[in-house]
Amino acid sequence: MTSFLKQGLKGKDIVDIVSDVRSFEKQHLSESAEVLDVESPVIVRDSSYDLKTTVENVKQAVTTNNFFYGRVQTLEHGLTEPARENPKQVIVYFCNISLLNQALAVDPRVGMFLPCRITILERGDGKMQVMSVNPKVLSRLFNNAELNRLCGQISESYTRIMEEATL
Amino acid sequence: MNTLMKWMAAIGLLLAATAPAAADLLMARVDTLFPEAMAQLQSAISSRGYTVTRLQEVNENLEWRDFKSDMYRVVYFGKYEEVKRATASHPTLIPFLPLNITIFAEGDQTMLVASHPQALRRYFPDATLKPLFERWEKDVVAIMDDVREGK
Repeated sequence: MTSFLKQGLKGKDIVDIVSDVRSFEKQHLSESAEVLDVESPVIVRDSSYDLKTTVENVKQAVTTNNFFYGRVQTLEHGLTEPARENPKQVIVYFCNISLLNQALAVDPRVGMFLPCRITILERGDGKMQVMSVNPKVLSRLFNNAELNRLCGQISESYTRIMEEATL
Repeated sequence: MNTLMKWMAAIGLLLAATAPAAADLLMARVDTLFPEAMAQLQSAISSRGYTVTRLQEVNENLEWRDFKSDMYRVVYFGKYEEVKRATASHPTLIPFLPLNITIFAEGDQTMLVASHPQALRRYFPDATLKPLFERWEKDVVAIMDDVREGK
């Protein structure tokens, strides 16, 4: 490899560049550049239960996985009058204060994906599905190793909750 | 451009290429206090025909970094017919809806953050959704511009 001095840089230039690159390390950018592998942006599981039972199962599984249940509402809640809301698209909201505080402390922008939520959907053919955003997709957005760890952890929790609810 | 600047630019480009985060987030920092920016945000959303469905508090205990619970909200919004149509044909879109913008105070300034709708295009490459995602992108950018310009 040809010396950078021979390529036109002065000694001080090289020191400046090295200093600049090292400053990125202080910002944890080098470690944060990893993007988690995501098979699908959405985690989906089929449920053999009816809608009402599946919703109750999700609420129960949320609690047993150390989250607190927040509320249940339809996707269209607030978009139209209650009578027109589609009752077959239901969202269960939940949270874990410890995880929330950790995530927000790492990056306050992550709030746009909180609180946690799982959707229960009765499809046109009568089949029931539960689904959620795969938290691992957030690794691409926030580019932070610590958040990657939390996203992986939350992704496992979502999967566990959905599998328990549909077992 | 001198040699040093060329090298710095090359390193910058390399880092940009390996750091996809900025491209997938829409952000704006405004020199406006939170209550005023919040009002402007809701007005900008409504003026584009969207309905604000919820102002979500994320945590009542945001005491760190000068955050207060009343200075952090996730604003959800959407259009009924649009959401109905899109989720009927593509149910796996539901976890990403309604659209939302996070708004929080940082000192005397306010930050707005939203997931870039172009990320949805990557997750849902179906060509029939492209015009919808492009309009969402245009609208979210315009909404942020309105708040930035204090409209």
